[in-house]
Amino acid sequence: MLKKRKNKRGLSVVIGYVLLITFGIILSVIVYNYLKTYVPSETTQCPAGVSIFLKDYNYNCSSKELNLTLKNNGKFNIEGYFIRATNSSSDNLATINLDNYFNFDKSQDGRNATGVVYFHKQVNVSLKSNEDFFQVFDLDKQIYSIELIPIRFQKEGSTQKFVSCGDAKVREVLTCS
Amino acid sequence: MENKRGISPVVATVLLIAIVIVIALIVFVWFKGITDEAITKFDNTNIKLVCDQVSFSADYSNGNILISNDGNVPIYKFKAKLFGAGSYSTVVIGTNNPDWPAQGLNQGDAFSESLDTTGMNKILLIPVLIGKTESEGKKSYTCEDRYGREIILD
Repeated sequence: MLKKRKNKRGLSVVIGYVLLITFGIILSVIVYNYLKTYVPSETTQCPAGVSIFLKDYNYNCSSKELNLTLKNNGKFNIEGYFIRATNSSSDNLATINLDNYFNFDKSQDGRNATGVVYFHKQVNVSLKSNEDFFQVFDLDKQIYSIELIPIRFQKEGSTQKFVSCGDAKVREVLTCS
Repeated sequence: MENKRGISPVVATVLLIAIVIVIALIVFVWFKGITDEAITKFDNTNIKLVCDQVSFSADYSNGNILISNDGNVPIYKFKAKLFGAGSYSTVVIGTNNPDWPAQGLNQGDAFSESLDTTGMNKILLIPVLIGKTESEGKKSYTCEDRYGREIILD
């Protein structure tokens, strides 16, 4: 009889541990699943030193040709830019995409693809810091102002990521030459 | 009799553990049901955190709402809250407009469309993102109002 009691006591302690560990594991799984998505991961961001400068322009209102001389006055290489325009002085935000009007033959170099004008036809060739570049757009309508947003490719891990540098946006109201 | 006594504690333990596991599973499924399933985007980041990275410009002129995506997060849609005298109505920008890209406004994209704001004094433009859930696949999420852009109408 005495032996029997001892056995039972021993078993109940083990069950107690099993229950405790089971609840512990289940609770930790629930908490982990709930919180794991809230851990911020590394985000794709443009470095603060990226900058593009519209050094000079020539806008011929009759032929609707727009010549831009751009300079990379930032600390980092840039590969290209988004270019958009407004056609009215009352519009404070440019929404007309001009990349389709890019003229390769008259420009120093470049290409346009998926809304972006690149400085070079060759992929992954950048405009380096302090370099100037000349590009031409043959428009089919009058525009009032332009907005440029530089873009660059950044290596994150083993992949190259396309990054838009919205903080380095420049705006210029055009006057006819 | 001796044999029976030897087996019953083992059976009882197995039963107990089995019941505990079943109850724990029931509690787990119930708990999962009462908490919202997380919508994630970009390497399993909760979409609520991604809202913080959204960057866009917006303006209203000549009866048109103008929007451009200046950041690196694609914006699936926009909800416009139009505030009038003591009330507001909500409009989804780009609905039934073929110019609105199906996948939303990607990096560098811009969009404009006419928006009737008669009797309104303010627009709050809130980004809607698309993410994914484990059970339902793709799912849209409207960011909180604090991530919206306010446009005061003249």
